[in-house]
Amino acid sequence: MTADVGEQASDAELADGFRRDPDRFTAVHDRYFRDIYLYAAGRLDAQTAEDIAAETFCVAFRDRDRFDPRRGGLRPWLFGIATNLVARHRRKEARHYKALARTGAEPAADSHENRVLASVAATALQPQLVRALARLSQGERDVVLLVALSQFSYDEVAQALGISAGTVGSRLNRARKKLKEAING
Amino acid sequence: MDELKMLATALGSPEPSQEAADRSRHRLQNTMRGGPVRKRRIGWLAGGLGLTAATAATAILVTSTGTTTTAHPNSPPSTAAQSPLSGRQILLAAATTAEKAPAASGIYWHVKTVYTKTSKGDTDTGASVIETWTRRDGRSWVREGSPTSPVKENGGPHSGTWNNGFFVGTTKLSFEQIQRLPADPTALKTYITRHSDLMRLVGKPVDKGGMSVDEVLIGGISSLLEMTPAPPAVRAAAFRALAKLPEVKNLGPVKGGVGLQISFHDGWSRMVLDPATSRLLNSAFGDADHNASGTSKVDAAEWTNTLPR
Repeated sequence: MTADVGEQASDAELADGFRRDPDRFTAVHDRYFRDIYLYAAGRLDAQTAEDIAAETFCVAFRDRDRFDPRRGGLRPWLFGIATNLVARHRRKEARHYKALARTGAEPAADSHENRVLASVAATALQPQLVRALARLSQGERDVVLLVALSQFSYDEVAQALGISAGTVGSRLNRARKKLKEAING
Repeated sequence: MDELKMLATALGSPEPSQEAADRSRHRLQNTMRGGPVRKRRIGWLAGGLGLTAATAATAILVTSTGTTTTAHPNSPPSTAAQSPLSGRQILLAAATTAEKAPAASGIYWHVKTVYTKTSKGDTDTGASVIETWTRRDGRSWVREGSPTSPVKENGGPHSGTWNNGFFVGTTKLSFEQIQRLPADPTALKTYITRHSDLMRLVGKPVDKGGMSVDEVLIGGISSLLEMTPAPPAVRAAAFRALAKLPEVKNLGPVKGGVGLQISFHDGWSRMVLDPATSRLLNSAFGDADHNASGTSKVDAAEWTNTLPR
């Protein structure tokens, strides 16, 4: 991965940079490629995820004039683009979850004990959970996965998806209820 | 543990590889340089390549028609003697010239490119000069900016950050792959489109980055002709593949050679061809509204035996 060297520029500084000099847009890539990739790779196979992550930055560059820092940070803006790109692969996404439910995913390589424990629990219940995820509406799934995979706040989800924070809350509640039922039922 | 954490664990993916990050960065940089992916394209003639005296066009008249209409460079443009060649004739003549060119060799493939951005809405960032030196094994070095800037390694063999002259469109090829490219125009077209990751944009709406097959092909061929160390027969095939496109226009003599415009469904590509050497010196893309975006001018694409330090 591209390492961040020295102190990090804020999103506003990054945005200011590429507004003055479009060449500096690569700094946005270097900051967010990993996060966007991991989000996409949670929803799709690795190859499609890489394609989506790369395309996200190309789309963002082409649309950079539309980025308005007053309406939110770079991160929600980029994840919104990535989410739109993921939406083009609905069938592939469904197949991805189906495959996960069937075979069980490899737990993420991480030696922290709580992660190991978590992964044991998750592995046992994973088929039900992933199947329930596949049954959510696209809008519910977008909200759930931005929160679960990328630790988005309600406000950030709202910015990314262009919906109100209230809608984020109600979608998330509905979705969590369905997921809970799947693993407790 | 709640269901969201469980989901995160269940769906957790391994970190992306350095190669994936480099490939992605590269794709972005190709987009940023106003490659064919970019829809807000480049005002090419705005870069200062205005029409000049009809000097270079003379050579092409000789090579392509075999007639002896050798107007003196300083004489006024001839009016009645011959009708101007069509864009297609110019490309076919360039194919013949390319075919006859001796195959060159050296240790480093040196490419010097000047990118200019003049996009509407952009701050004019002026010209940026990129030079790369690439060995046959793919290892490459880069110098950005002035000739006194340091020469740095351009990533590993598969992860160069800058276009090192081994790209056909957005597809990076090895030296051997470039040598083995088809010498038949139809087979070359098939190769380029089959290997281009831009083909997934074909058929999409233009505002979603949609492209036509012709646009993908033109992007691939112009980079092949401008920057790669492709052998003479492949270069000839590349010119012939362009000549097969439906709309090729001769824009007349311009600085450095002759201007050509190839149109596709929602835009065009313009290029400057030096008919004497069959080199492509300059290319740019524009949309149907002639919106400006930038130019890429190739000042050198040649073999050399030394790497400046």
